[in-house]
Amino acid sequence: MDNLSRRNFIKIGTAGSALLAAAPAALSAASKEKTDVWVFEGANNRALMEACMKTIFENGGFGPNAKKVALKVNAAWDRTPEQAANTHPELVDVFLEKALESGVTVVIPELPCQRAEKTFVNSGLQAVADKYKVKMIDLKNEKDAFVDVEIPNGKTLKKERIPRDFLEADAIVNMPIAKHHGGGTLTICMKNWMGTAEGRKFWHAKGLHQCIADFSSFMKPTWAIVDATSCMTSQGPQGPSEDMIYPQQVILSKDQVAADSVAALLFHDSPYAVKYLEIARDMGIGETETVNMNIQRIKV
Amino acid sequence: MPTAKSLRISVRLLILAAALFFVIGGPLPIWMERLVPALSPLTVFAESIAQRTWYAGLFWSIPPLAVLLLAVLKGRLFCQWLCPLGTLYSLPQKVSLKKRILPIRLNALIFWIIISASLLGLPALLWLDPLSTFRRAGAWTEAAAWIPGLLIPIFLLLSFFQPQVWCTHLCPLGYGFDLANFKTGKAVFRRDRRQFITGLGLGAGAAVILPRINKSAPTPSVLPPGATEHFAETCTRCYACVDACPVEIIKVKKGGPLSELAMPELVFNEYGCEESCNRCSQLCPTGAIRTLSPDEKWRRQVGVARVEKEKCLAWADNEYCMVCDEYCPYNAIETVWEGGIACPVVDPALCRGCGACEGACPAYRAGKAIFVHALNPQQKIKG
Repeated sequence: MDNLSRRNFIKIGTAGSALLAAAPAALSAASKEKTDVWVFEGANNRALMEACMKTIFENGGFGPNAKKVALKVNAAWDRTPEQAANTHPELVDVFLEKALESGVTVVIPELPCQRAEKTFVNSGLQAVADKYKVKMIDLKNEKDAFVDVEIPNGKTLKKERIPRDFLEADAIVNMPIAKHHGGGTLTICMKNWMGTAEGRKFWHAKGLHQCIADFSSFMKPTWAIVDATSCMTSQGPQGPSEDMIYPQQVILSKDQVAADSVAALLFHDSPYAVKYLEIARDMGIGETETVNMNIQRIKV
Repeated sequence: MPTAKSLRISVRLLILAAALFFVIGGPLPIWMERLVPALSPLTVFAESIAQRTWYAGLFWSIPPLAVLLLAVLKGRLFCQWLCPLGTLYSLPQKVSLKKRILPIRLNALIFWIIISASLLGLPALLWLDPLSTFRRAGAWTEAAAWIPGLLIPIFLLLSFFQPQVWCTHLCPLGYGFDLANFKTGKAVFRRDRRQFITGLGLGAGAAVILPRINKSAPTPSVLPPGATEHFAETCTRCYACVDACPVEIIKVKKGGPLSELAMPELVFNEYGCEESCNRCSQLCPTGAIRTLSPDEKWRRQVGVARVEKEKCLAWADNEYCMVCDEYCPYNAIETVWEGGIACPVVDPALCRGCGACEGACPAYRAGKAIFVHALNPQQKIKG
């Protein structure tokens, strides 16, 4: 029953966002409410994330009575933290520490691109999860974890199979690393959801960017946290890349599209260099225009 | 002496259980995966003669040399106490009909065929080595592995008619022990000198003729990293590599010429050969796959991938894809922009032929649109 109620909850949520989609411009103009985005900047990863978590808890945390949090990191590649192909373990460490302190439980489901025995371990994320006794779920070897979902607002992607953990959670958090991507141009929050979709292999043939946008119209996080400490600007998503930048930022928002749009500006002149962000704007999935955002830059 | 006998039975069953665990219990530590087939002095000597090099290294020379020393001193003690295949074949002894279905011993003949063929560079019939045979049981889920794997059920069945017919009449390793023993060696050699001469002749013939049947050198199969030029001929089909591969891309070949019958090859259905893995090269007991250090493995080029543009989502359908680029650990996929769409091209100087691209390719029309083409002999990437 828990499962069902969660599903209904999502349906209501998506119905609401369908309304938003009908008249995004009108709505954003009508309500002067700007989308909040926090950009934390500083040399120390731990301090960055501590500031980020403080802001999260000052702004509602994971929601009233939240007990279960499903966290989507990027732990897809057999690469070290320095190579910046996976979410930095220091950031995840602080997230887990502060989240658990607040009394919630956390699970980390991930559908890696290579064997989890390599990617979870060499990314440093398994060690962090073990430290807090948090379960990292290797979705490659848990085929039973997936359930069918319908994507009401999807134009191309109307059905997908996702892990039950995200439906059963009271809050979901999307915490990718921002980096270059051959087919997706960039991978940030929206693209990161691909690591929960069992049928992701078929997206490329259907139209990758449309599928990413469609899926993100369904997978809406409570919080989107972007690791923009070290970023690949070429040879992504796996690397190793010779073209690294070190913005040393953590970008936080309740709107994953806004977080992606701000992060995209670290790589490109316009967020619309990334096609799925252009689609997200047209579908009204979230905010892409920085003028409509309340961006707070916080030096840590 | 019932106690001595029951002690021997207990020890044998215990070793059989341990050997079975090493063979089918995988994935296990490398020494466990390698130990059973690597115990055979026949394998290590015949292969070293054939390959003109002592490939085993110091550590892995100790087990077969210890077994050989045991034979010099105690003859067939290994057979009677340790050999897991021998124990398996001895299980039906009590109920065996004790008929003589194979009246003559052919073990000397098989032994000398192996030695003579090895001298000419091709260890023919070495796949009959009982420890390689026993190891093969681990790959029972592979259909083609049953071609050489049938030995086990056949001789287990025959043991119901003639007790341990394999061990007493056919086993080349057991014969080697008789020959190596300082007490029996001379007499055994003299007794079987006819088979010695016939074996030398047949072995030489086999070494010359076998490679020429349906010859397709170099093989089109992508071979495990570290495979030598003579992989097909020197591999004893023990399938230690097949079972030890963490991503299960080493499969038993179906079809092909006789010399490549049921040999291991790489098949990229989902995964590619992992960048940081060198397991198969560390546990091959025959030298058919040579040991590679992590760096040597990283530089090893086993093939080169090629994009088939007419099947490719980017080239043929103008889709955003580049999954091959995404999965390539060596940055060997270059991007060519065609009408605003990123399209893949392989850089053959960087491609190792690991097959990560082929495993992940989502092209739907033909299943895949990028394929690894074998490079035999394998090469080393510079830089």
